[in-house]
Amino acid sequence: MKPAYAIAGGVLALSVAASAFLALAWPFVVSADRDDPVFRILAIATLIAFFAALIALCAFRIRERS
Amino acid sequence: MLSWFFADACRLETARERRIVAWSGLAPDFDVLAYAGAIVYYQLDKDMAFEKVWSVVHHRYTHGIAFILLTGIVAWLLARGPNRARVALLAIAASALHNFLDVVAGGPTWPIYPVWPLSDFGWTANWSWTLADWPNHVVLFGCLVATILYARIAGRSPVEVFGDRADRWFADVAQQKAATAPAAGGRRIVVRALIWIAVILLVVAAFAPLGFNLG
Repeated sequence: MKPAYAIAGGVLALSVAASAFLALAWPFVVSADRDDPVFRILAIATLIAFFAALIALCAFRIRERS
Repeated sequence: MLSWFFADACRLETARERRIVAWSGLAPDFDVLAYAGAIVYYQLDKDMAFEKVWSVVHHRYTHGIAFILLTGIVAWLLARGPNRARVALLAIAASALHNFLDVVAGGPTWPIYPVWPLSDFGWTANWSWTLADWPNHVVLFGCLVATILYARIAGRSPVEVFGDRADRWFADVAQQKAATAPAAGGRRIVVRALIWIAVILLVVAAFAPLGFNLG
C-alpha cells in the first residue's frame, strides 16, 4: 500500500500546485484568453487528478482506521 | 467539506489542525457576510443588496493571493505544536484550491481577482460551469455520501469543523449506536426514521439553492 499511497500523495500535491498556478498565475504568465483550449484541458485534467488522488488517499485513511 | 477531506488526506492527525485547514478552504467565501449585512441594510430588499453590494463585493477582496497569504498567517497563528508551518501551508493550499474551483465551477459571470489590490483584473473561463450545473451536483452529492461513509467507518467526518461533540454525535448516528441504547423497539424505529428524514431534508436543502438544473 505504501507505494500507492506515495503516488496518490504526489498526484495530490502536483494537482494542488497546478490548481494554484492555473487560478492565480496563468492569466499573467501564459494567456488571459478566457477561451484558451489549453487552459481548459489543463484545468479539467487538474480537477480529475485532484479528485482521483483525494478519493484514493481518503480510502487509505479509512482503511487504516477500520 | 472538500477542505476537510483534503486535510485528512494530508494526514493531519489532530482535530484542531483539520479544522483550521477546513475553515481556511471556506475562508474566501467569508465575503458572504457583506451580502447578509447588505440585506439587513436595505431592509430585506434582496435585489438592491445584490446590485449594490454582492455583485460588486463577491470574489473581489477575498479571492486572490493577498487573502490566501492572510489565511496562511492566521492558520499559523491558530495552529499549535511542531506542525504549525505544515498546517499554514495546507491552509494556503486549501484557500488556493477554493479559488481554482471558483474559476472552473463558479460560472463565467463570477471572476476571481488574483492580484487585488494591485489590479482589478478578473479571471474566469468562459466555459466555467455554473453552480446549478450537474458537475457541482455530483461533487456535492459525493461529498455528502463520503461524509456519512467516513463517519460510519472511520468515526469522524467533516462535521468535526463544528466541534468534537458535534462530530461524535454525527458518527454515533452514522454508526447507528442509538440501536444499542436500552430503548423500546418501536421508539428506536421512530428515532431512526426521524434521523433519516432529517438527513434527506438536509440533502434537499443543500441542493435546493442550486436550482436542480440537471440538464
